Amino acid sequence: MIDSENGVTAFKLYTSLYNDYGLPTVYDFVSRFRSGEMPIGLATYSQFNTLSVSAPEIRNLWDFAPFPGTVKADGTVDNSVHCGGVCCMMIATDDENVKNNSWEFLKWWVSTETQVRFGREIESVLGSSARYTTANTEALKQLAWSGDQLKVLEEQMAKTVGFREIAGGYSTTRHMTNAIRRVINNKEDARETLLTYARTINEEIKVKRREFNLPLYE
Amino acid sequence: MQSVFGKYWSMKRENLRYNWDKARRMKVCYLFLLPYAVLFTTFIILPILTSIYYSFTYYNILEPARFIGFQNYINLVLQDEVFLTAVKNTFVIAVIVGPIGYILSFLFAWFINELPRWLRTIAVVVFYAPSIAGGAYTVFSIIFRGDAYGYLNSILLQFGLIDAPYLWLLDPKYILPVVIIVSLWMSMGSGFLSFVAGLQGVDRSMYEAGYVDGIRNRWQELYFITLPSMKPMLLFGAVMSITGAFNVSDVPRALAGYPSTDYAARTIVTHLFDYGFSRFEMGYASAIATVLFLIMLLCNKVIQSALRKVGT
Repeated sequence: MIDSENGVTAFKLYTSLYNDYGLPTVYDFVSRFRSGEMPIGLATYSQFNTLSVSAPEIRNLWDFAPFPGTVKADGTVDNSVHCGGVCCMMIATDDENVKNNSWEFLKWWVSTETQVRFGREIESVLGSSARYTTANTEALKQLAWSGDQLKVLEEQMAKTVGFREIAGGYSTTRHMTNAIRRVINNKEDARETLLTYARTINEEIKVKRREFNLPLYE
Repeated sequence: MQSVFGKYWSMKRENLRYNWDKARRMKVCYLFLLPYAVLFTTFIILPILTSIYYSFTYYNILEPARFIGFQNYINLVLQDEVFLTAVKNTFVIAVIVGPIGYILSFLFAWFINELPRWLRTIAVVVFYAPSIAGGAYTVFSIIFRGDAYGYLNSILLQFGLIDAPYLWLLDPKYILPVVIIVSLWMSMGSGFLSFVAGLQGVDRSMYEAGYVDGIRNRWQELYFITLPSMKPMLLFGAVMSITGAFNVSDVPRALAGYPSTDYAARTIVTHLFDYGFSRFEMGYASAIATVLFLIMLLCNKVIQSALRKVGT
């Protein structure tokens, strides 16, 4: 999928931001935001925690808004983002009792009230630096976000796309990073680099899928 | 012929019985050895044996281990190109950091040997400090950071030597030299301390005897008198620096990230981490570990036999 035409265009756009427009590649967002050198930035909303605690001198002078996007054919803005997340996993065993208990435990842990309670208690102990980034959308509404911030978060969450994890998925991120760095460092052609690395990624995924006897399609 | 063999085996049996009796009489000595022996077995011998066992199996931690024979080793040597890069990187780092670090440690120990005692103590602390303060090399990740505000970049930018920040730790061209420099800085380790101690222990009268016998300058004195008297220290320092050089994985991992761009700073141990902890192929990782163990044994033997000839 990376080596489709859309993928190549997206990759070209991304690397041209660094190569043609000279955006800094390595930077510490919090420090530069505080000093005013970067008045606007794209970051995950957990940076809110860091900024609210480590930058008290700019309190109430900054806020966050939905992601900038590209204009689609019908005029609306497509600002979908991807998100990462943490999962809970149950390992299958033969013991029915253990299975039921672990399922009940997981149901309890991800339920709204538990998440809200956890988020509120951790924020009351550690302050607003520990605002819990919960995945439970109902619980998010009940945490200590203000009305405007909540509207922004909900609007962005509606447009969020998650990536499916597959066997060998680590290979995608790893080689994409390699591809990006190669284009930035050596100023090579974006399309060629992407297609070369796409082949490497596909090979590793194939090896892993064969190991676990998952179906391969060419 | 028969009688010769018969005599040989009966002599061996005699020896065995004699030693066994001696051991039984000196039971207390073995009791003294017991704590160290237990710890050594549990923490060093057992893991090595377990690792060798697992290297012949396919083991991801969730399922029981499945015996597959030499397949791991075959894959490792014939099919894994990243492993070859890892071996090349490790050997480059080991060959540069090992001998040069060793020689540097010895030279520094020799130079500061001349200073008065209080100055020597301060110098020893200054040189040994990076090794004690475990993660001291992480300061280099700030110095070499690809930020325009990283120390090296900002100094170079200020003097106009470069016009855009170099990504020292993210560009495959620069990662390996940076890692080598930092490893050299870290190489003043326990070998250095043993050299300082050993140089103090050299018999002074031998120097006078040497000067009477015709030694003309400091370098000859170094080669003919100092080095042979320090042979145990040299062997110890060599063993430490060889194992340290092959085990190098903290420094590349902390500086160049994990995994490093295009596998430029991949060493054998980070390769092992990758297969063991990211891909959960424990059998393969154990095979890598066993291969590393054999390489280190071999190099140790070679170095030790080479060092026995110093000064003679």
